[in-house]
Parts: sequence; C-alpha cells; structure tokens
Amino acid sequence: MLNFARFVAIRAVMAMITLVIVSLVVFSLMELVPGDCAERYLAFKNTQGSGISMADIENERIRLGLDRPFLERWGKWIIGAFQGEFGDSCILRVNIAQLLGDKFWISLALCLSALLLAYIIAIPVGIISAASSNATLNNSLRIFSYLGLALPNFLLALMIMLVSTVYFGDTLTGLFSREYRDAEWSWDRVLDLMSHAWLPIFILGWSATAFALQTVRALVSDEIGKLYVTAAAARGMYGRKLLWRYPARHSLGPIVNSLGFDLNRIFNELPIVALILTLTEAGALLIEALARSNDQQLAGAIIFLLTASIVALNFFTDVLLAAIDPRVRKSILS
Amino acid sequence: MTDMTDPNTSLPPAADAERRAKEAYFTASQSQLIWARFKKQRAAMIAAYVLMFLLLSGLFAPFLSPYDPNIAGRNKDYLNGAPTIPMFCDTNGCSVRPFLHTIERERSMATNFRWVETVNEDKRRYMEFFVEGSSYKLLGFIPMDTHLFGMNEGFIHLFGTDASGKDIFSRTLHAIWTSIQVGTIGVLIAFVLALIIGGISGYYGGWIDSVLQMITDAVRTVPAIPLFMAIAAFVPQEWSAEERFFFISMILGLIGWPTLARRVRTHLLTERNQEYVLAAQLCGASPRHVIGKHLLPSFTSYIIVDLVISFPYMVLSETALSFIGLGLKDPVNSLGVMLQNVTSADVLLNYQWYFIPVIFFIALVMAFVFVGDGLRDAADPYSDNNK
Amino acid sequence: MKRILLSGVALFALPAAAMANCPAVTVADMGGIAMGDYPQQFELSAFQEAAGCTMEFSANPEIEALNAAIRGNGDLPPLAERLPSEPLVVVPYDSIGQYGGTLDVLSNATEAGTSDFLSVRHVNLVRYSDDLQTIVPNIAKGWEWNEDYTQLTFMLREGHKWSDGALFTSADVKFWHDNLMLDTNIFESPKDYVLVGGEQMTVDAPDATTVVFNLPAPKPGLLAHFATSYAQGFQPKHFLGQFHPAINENADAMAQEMGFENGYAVISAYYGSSDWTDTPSPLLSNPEKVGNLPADVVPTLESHIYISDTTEGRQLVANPYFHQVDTTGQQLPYISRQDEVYINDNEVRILKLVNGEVDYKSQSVRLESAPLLLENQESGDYSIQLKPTVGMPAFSFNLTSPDAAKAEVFGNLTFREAMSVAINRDELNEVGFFGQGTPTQILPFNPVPNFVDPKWASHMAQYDPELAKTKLDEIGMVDTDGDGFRELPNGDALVLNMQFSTQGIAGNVVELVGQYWADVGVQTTVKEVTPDEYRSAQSSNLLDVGLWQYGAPLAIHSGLNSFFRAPFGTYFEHRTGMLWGEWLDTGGASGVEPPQFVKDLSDNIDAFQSATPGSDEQAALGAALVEGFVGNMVMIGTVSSPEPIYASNKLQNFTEFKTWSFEYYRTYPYRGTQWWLTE
Repeated sequence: MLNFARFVAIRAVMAMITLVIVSLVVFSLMELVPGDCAERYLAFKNTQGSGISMADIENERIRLGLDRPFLERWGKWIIGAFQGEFGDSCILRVNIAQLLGDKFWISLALCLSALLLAYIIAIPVGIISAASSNATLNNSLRIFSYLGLALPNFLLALMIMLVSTVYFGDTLTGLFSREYRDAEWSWDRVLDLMSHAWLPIFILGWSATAFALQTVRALVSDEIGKLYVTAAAARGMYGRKLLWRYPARHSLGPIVNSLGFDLNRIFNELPIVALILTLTEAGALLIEALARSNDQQLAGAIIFLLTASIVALNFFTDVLLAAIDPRVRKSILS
Repeated sequence: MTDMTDPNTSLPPAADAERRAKEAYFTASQSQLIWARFKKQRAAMIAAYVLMFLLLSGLFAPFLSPYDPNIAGRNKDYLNGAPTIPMFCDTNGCSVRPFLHTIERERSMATNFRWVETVNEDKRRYMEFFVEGSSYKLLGFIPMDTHLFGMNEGFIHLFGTDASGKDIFSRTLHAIWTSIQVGTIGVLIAFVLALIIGGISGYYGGWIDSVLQMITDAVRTVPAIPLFMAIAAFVPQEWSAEERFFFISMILGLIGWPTLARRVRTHLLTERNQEYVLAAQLCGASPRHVIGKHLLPSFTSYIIVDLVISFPYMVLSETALSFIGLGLKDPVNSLGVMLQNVTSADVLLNYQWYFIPVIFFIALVMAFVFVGDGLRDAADPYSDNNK
Repeated sequence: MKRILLSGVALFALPAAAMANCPAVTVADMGGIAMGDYPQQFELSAFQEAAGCTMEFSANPEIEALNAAIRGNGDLPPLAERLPSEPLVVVPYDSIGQYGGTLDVLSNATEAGTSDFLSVRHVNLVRYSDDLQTIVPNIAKGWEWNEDYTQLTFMLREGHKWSDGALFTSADVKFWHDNLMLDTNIFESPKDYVLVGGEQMTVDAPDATTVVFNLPAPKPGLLAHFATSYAQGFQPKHFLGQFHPAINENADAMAQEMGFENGYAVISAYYGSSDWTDTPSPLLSNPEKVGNLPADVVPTLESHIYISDTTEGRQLVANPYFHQVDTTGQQLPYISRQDEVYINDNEVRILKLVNGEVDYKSQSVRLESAPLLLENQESGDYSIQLKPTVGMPAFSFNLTSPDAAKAEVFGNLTFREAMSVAINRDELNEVGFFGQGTPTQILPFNPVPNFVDPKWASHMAQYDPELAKTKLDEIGMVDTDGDGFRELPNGDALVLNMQFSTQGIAGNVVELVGQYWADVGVQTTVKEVTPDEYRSAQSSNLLDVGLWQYGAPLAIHSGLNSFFRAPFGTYFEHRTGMLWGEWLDTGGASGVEPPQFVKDLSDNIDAFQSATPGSDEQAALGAALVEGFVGNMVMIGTVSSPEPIYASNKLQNFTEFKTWSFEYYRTYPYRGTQWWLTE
C-alpha cells in the first residue's frame, strides 16, 4: 500500500514537472515566432489604414512589458497561469480568463464527446474485426471507419456545410442560435447547443475512430490468439461471452492508457473544424490566435489549459491502470 | 534413417511436393513466412497493388505526365477547364489513334466571368505517344525529355486544369511523390528516435523509465501548431519551397516519435521479464546485445507494422498544417496543397474535377492502412487465421 | 351664412397651408427645389426657405425602447429637445425611408475587417460628398480657412447633444485635442494627423459653437483629413473628463471606487487609446467591472451606439440624439438596430453572402469570389457592384540591398525598365482579374488628377520581352554558364527571391511575374510567407523584391507624405530603399545617402502639402512628383483592378459607389445613415 501511495505521489510530481516543461517550451515557441504582441496589435490597426511608425511599436512594446528579460516574463506568466490568471489578450485587449470563460469547458465537452463516439464505434467494430472470419463484414466495417481518417476534417466540414447551404438554405454554423448566443445557461440553451454540436462531434469522432479502431483491433487480435483464450474455448465458452470475458477485457488496459493522448489529437483537430463551422469556442480562438493573429498571450493560455487537462487525464489513467492491472504494477514498481 | 535425409530418394510426386512444402515452411526465414501469410489476405493484397501503383506513378511522375506541373507548363487558354478525355469515335467517324476536339472559350461580365465553351467537332487533335516535351531528370539524375503521351497540337488535360491553367493530372502525380517523400522522411526519423528512446526506457525500467517517460509525455503534449510556427520562422529566406518541405518532414518526424516510442517501451516492459532474456543475461550478454539481438527482433513485425501505419498520419499532418497555412503552400505540388485548393465554395460548386487528387489522397491513405493491418495479421504468429 | 362659413374655413385653411410639412424631396426627385450650397444636403433654415415649408419633426416609434437599451441614458426627452436647433437636413437618394429593421453585417473579428461597417455609422466634422471631390459639412455647420491656411475655424451646431443627452460643444473638440491626443499618458507621441510638419497645433474654443485650430505652418490637407479619417475630432468631455486627472482632481479616486487602477485606466477602457471606434468597450474588456461604471459604452455622436459587445459579435441601436433628419423631418437613422457577427474564415463568409444572410459588405470581398457571388444574385436577393480600387499590386527592387552586386544592378534604371517591360500585363489581367482590370504602370496618385501627364500610365508598361533582353544585355547581365539564366555583371549567379504574403498581393500574380522574368533569363524563386515574416524581412532590408500594394488618392497625399518619402510607405505598406529612409530620418547620421531624385521627391511632397489646393504651383509639384517616381521606376505597376461591393436588395437608398476603397473611409461619402430596409 505504501508502495502504491509512493507511486501516486511520484506520478503527481512528475505530472507537475511535465506541465512546467511544456509551458516553458510553449512560451519559448511563442517568443521565437517573428513579431510580438506590440507589432501584432498595431498591425491589426494598420490593416484598417492608419499610419504606424516604428516608434509607435516601440512604445507599445514598453507599455506591454515586452522588453523585460525572457525568464522574468516566463516566471510571471507561469505563476499567474497556475492561479488561473493569464493576463490580457494581445489583440483584443480583453482579460483572457473572461474571454475563455465557459468556452474552454465547451471545447473540452466537444472533444470528450467525440472521443466517446469514437470508442463507442471502435470497440465493438474492433472486436468483431479481430475475431470474425467474415471477410466482407470485416472489410466493409474497416473501410467505413478508415474513411473517417482519410477524409480530412476540414474538407468534410466544408462539404457538409456547402451541401446544407445550397440544398437546405442553412449554413449550419455556430454553436448557438442567435437568441441563445449571450443568454444565461438554461435547459433550453443546452438543447440548442446540442442541436448544433452534433456536427463537429460527428466530424471529429469519425476521424478519431480510425486510430481507436486500429488500436482495439490490434490489441484484441493479439490477445485472442493467446492460450488462455483457447483454454476458455475448450472449457465450453463461446461467442460474445468468450470474446468479452477474456481478450477484450485485457485489451482495455492499453486503451485506457492512451486516452490522454487521444484527447490531445482530437483537440489538435478541433480548431480547424471550429474555424470552418465558426464555433465559438476555445479551439477556434486558439487557431485564430496561433495561425491568424499570432496572439501569443491567448494562445499560450489555451495551450496551457489544454496541457493541464491532458496531463491530469494521463495521471489519472496511469494511476487507474496501475490499480487494476497487476502486470503494469509489477513492471513499474520493480 | 538415410531415407529421411537423402534427397535423392524417390517418392510419389504428390507426397514429394508435400514434403518440399513442409521443408520450405520449416526452413523459411521470418520474412518469408510473413510474406506467405500476407499473400493469403485478399484485402491486403489489393491494397498492396494499389500502393505499388501509386508509388510507381509518383516515382515516374515526370515521365508519365505530359506537362511541367509548375506555372511554366500552364495552358494559358484553358483556365479552370474541365477534363478532356480522348475518344476514338465521333460523328465524323472513328480512328485508331485517340483524339480530342478543339474548344474555344470566352467569358465576360455578361457570363458572370464563367467560361462559355464551344466545341469545334471538326477540328481534331491527335494523341501521340513518347513525345518530346519539357525536360526533367528521371529519378533525380537521368536527364530526359520524353513523356509517355501528348498531343500533336494543343494540350490534353485528363483531370482538367486549375485557375492558372496548370494541368491537374501532372500536378497530382508529382504531388503523390512529394507527399510520399515527406511521409518517408518523417517516419524514418520518428522510427530511429523511437527505437532508441523506447528501447532504453523499456529495458532498464525504474527511474530511467520514469524520466524518459516524462520527456516523452512532454514532447507528446506539445501541440504541433505553435511548434511549427516557431520553426517555420527559422527557415532561412534563401531556401526554396522544396528545401522548406524537407525541413517540415524532419519536424514531423521529431514530433512523431513519442507514439512509437511508447509502444516499443510497453513491449519491452513485458518482454524483458521473459525467460529467454534471463537466459541471455545469465550467459553474460551485455544490455545492448540483449536489446539488439533478442528483444527487438521479437517484435520486428510490430515495428514494421507501426512504420507502415504511421505513414498516413504523417501525410495527414502535412495536410492539416498546410491547410492553416503553416506547411507547404502553392506553388509546391503536394497532396496537402491540392486539398487546400479544393476548400473553396466556388470550387466545390463549379469545378468538381479539383476533387480528383482528393480521391488519390484517400486511396493512398486507405492503401497504407490496409497494408498495415494485413502486415500485422501476417506477422502475428498467434493469429487465428494462420493455423 | 355660407360666406361666413366659407371664409371661416379659408381662415383656417390658409395658415394650415402655410405651415405645411416639408415635401418628400429625394435626390431622384427634387420636386423643383434647387440644390443648396452643398450637394444632397441643406441646413434647416436654407431648406425651409427653398421649399417654402416649416419642418415638423418625427422620430422612430421604437425610440423609447431603443433608448432603454442604452444603459446610462435617462428617460427620453421629447424629440424637439433631442435634436440640435439646426439639424442637418439630408436628402435621401431614392426614397423617404421607413423606420425599423436590423442591419446584418459581418466582420472578421473585434478589430479586424471592421472598417466598412464602422463607416456606415461614422460621423466627423466634415465629409466628402459622393463625387469624392467636394467637402461638405456634417457635425460642423461650416468652416473657414484664413488666407494662408494656418487657421481653420469650424462652426458647430447649437443644441447638439451626445447620445446620453449632454450638450456637445467646442469644449469637446478641445478636450479631444489637448487632453487625449496630446496627453503623453495616452499617446506616447502624438499621431501625425494632429501634427503639422512635426509641430503641434493649438485649439481654441472662444464660444460653445466655435472651434479654432491654429497651425504652426500651412496645411490645407487638415480639412481633408477630417473628411477622410476614421479619427473623429471630438470626445465627450463631460463623460471622459470626469476620469481625466488633468480635468477632475477626484478622477483617480472615482476610478478606484469602481475597481480600476486610476482614471487613465477607465479612459483606456472606454476610449481604447485609439480613435478607432471598434476598440473593445468595457462590456468586452472588463465585463466584471462594467456594472460599476456610469455607462456601458462611451457616448457618441454617431448614428448608432453599442449595446452588446462580445467576442462573437456586437449589437447596436439607433442614437436617439442623432443630428440628421430627412427632408420630411424624420430623425435619422431609419434603421433601428445593427447586428455585427464575426467570421474569420473567408470561405464561410462567402457562403453567408451567397445565402443572403448579410445586408452589406465590401471589405474582405475580393474579385476572385466575384463569379460565385454574381451568379447567386437572384437566389440570394442581393446585388453586386464592381468598382475600381485605389491601390494596385506593385513590384519593387531592393534599391539599398546589402549585397553590393545586387544593389548595383537593382539601382540601375535600365534593369528596372527591363523588368517592367518583361511583364505581360494583359495575361495577368486575364488570369488574375478576369480581364476586368486595366493594365497600367504604377499610379502614385489614384484616381489620377488632371496635372498628371497621361503618358506615365503606359510608361514602360508594354509587353516586350525582346526589349527586356536587349536592356539586360546592355547592362552586362549575360548567361556565362549556359544554364539558361543570366548572371550578374560580376559573374555571380542571380536568383531573385520573391517572398510574398497574400495579404499584400495575390499568389497567382506573383507566380506569373516570376515566370515572365524567368523567360527573359532572370532566375526567380517564389515562396509564400506570413505577413509578419514579410514585414520583418522588409524592415531588416533583407528582401530582394518588394511585393505589395501601392497607390493612394490625392486627398491622402495632401496629409501623409509617406508615399513619396523613402522608404515610400509606412511599416505596414510597400517599402523599398530602407536605408535611404534611414538616412533621411537621421539627417545623414546613418543609412545610405540616396540619389538626388529621392531627395527631390521628399522635398517636393512637403512643398506639395503646403501649396494651395488647385493652384498651378501645386499642379507643377504634383507633376514633378509623378515624373520622379514613375520615371525612375521606384516601383513597377501591374494591373489596376476592380473589387466587388455587396448589398442586399432589401437595402434602400444604397447608391453606386465610385471606388472600392478605404481611402475615403468606405461608405462615408455614400451616407449610410440614410439607408433603410424593406421586409
């Protein structure tokens, strides 16, 4: 028991360290990109046509404290980040915590729903695919799932939107209808959200299905050939019960392990889909901040939150796995 | 006793054949076994043929495409033109040589800037084979200027043209090759790094494993987009678009290794407790020897499979990054760039032939995935299908 | 009896006839009334006299509800107390409007791609009329220059009120200039549009309706500045002043009570340290503190005011105290509400336009989308206009390149001329602009004024690759190693590195020009980069070829000298000759001394700005500027093309624009305040 507690504690510390390292990497990356907060903000103003001089930019820089040394700025930022204070957005000049508000939770909800959808499809299909000898069923299921991978998200989203616009007169954009955009949370608002959210969840889930499917299939087919399964079959177990009690359960371990990174992958794809469907959530803001407006503060904040979620999820799954799977426990604790 | 080992003993042909087959089976190397099992899977073989076909068309792209895929090879008079498929017969009779009609086009404000075409059925242009065209270097070093086919006058566009008049067929073939190159470099780099780091981590376990795992997790968690942006900023100005893409593939490899490394490490964690490892260690083998000669070969098959499977993910990463403007852009010919060109409402509604590279892209990805699955099934000695 | 009755009726009828409300005059049907001093608008007294009527004012039936939506506004006083005693009578284009409706628009983001929407409700002291030549009054009733253009006096309207009901006076103009523009806590150094030749002006407010600008040197362009700029020359002193430490000694204490650090922080929350009217309001930037503030949004004189401001969009309602009325006395604006939605992806914006979900858009709508928009006009119930732009895609060579051999070649006029004639502008026009543009040489003044010799528009603009090759041979650039490309005169290989950003120039134009230059033997590579990378490289003098827009109208050149003075643009525009610019700015301390023609250009533009508009002296200077710029091929022009303007068919009184451009502040000359919506 003590060993286990020690394991948990070490894992927790390592998670924290990982978070700090990643934040350092992210912060440095934002620094390396040419142009900083001052230039960005003034660049925006200038696309509207006002004349900006280098002196203006210098002044803006000093005002934002960008002339301080790197470590000092990083230190301030990371300390603030752990408290949930991310400063102001470069471009919008709005307090980031306000800006993100419930957007981040919506994004997380979208990603987790997509992940859930992916595994709901992948687990049964993977098991069937690994166990069945019906080639046609096998192949058609696989083709359908892998198509989600091969068709890039943005293309799929755009095509669906286009069909919907041209043939149904509804551009299917946004997460909320106009009436609910700024309203308070209520049951109606949740329903409205769900009526719009099915599209991004579907798109993200379909492409995540492929990876999940391959993983499940590989794991189950590994296990299914093992001797204990043959032994169980010899004892008279068959069909679904056999599949479920033995190989499937043992394959779940590694799946649980990789949940954190699956979330990361989905979250990496969310911004592009969000951009196209004009979803008002953190993913769209992130891609805005990174690829369009180079708003380092906002991007850094969102990435930090995401990283924290993933690290937390990893920590949780690691501990869970060690608790339920004795093989893993033995390896790690030896 | 001599009967069994003496190959000259005569047996009835059927039994003889069976004996040879059994011998072949027992003396076959691992790769031969895997290949034999792979051949039995229909889906995987079809995928393999498709993959070979695509690879070869990419490799010989300059020869197979009638025109230079860049702006120099454009058709000024046929912008956003529909595909022109050669025919053998028309209202004026049939011909052995395939031919095309001549098309005249015009557009103006009155036609909303859409091209209005009139086909001149009487003016034929014939297809020719092994024509002399723009010069190129086959496989990168053989200077040639022969193309598989072309027209005796005018242009032929099997997949139509884009907004600048570039031939989409030529672009697609070159694009396949570029995307494959990007994927290969990325996968190789990822693979080498994964083996080293995953290997050490899995074999030693303990605190080395913990530290390396932390590093792996950290790298895995870093989102690709800011990494790309920062690195893209460091590409020297003088580098051409092609050099830039080599750099990008390297970066894709550098962020791709964690997934592979984790798999390697997991395998090793379980395998290193097996008896044969203990036996080797008792014999005094060094850790490097144990890892290299015993552990790694035990899952070579998995490594190959992982390699093949991670390929499409590399290509997809390139596509996604290009879409948001961070990867390869026009005028480079890559499948990602061609996908970017499709994502415009105008194109989706009016110029559907831009989609043809998308089909190639999907085919490439699906082929890799099915081949990967097939290899995994073939490589697994315990697999049900191989009894 | 009957006679008494009849005369009684007549007695009543006569005054009634004399007090008849003013006729529904529109530009389309003036009803015989002559135009006043200024086109399409009158002062109240002038109109009443010309039409022989007494105007009766009426307001939007919803105005009470709209006013209630503006937090910080008290009860609504009657209309007579809301209008100035001399409102501006605006003659609508086609029809007298009906109140109501919501104007739906799109922008890219909070402060991006918004200027065409901002211009719809914009007001300033004066305005350019839709002929883009005549300046007419708006907030100001009139103005007067002194003889040598060193003193500009504006006459304001009596009884003009801010959107919260407080009086608007000359003190507000003086407050804007002295306490905002010149306050170093808000602007580290004053913007160049409030300076004259680098020197400050002074502003006097002798009485409530008179403002005097005193200039240290003549600057006739100051009036044009107020007509074209987004920067409004006034801010509410009664409101912002209470938070300004120089005006209210309790400013900081007040601010701290409301949760802000000091008075300037509150001013920054409202004013955003910028004259742009799209900076985040406290609703967006400080939603947790906005409840403590006296109002959600700073009071304005514009036709609409914000009531909601989030990262998804903004909503506005009509200003109950707006100073304009139509010819029948209805207070403008007709449109009750405006709804702005942010969409940053171009394809999605186009889809929304095609679907008819937007009422007006011109910014960010490019010619390449024209076919799709044109063919869906009927189904989407909208119309598209194609109008010429002011800037055009331009190429320049780095005249102060750090590589000496390149600098020598780029600096040779013959080389630049060769590169110019190597470009096939007709094909560029076909491929890039559907043949709708006009192939032309660079036009520093666009639209082209009379004093410019027309020959410059086609100078070295013909397509003559043989001539280009001859010129290149002349300067010693020949192919010494037989690879098909020319080397520099000193034998080194030359590869022109063309890095471009789609924000400044279209990709296919660059590709084609690269190919044309390769065809005459100059090797090129083309690469797309982000706008930041482009500007960064431009600033560091590392570019070989400059690739961005260039061109501005006369009105802008009257106020900004940057287009003719090395490096020929500001940070965010097309620049070349960076080191010459450095030399000029540091007075010769660093940088590279420019040739005489560059110094002449710089001197001439300063003289041009001080000269009397329309005089022969100005014309001569203008001609010299064009000759110096185009003759020396500082930049090479390509094709001047039109861009689309989108308007829903439900939008009435929407007239034909003259140009698709930001330079006259988009819709401002075309009077967005008199638009109205049918169902």
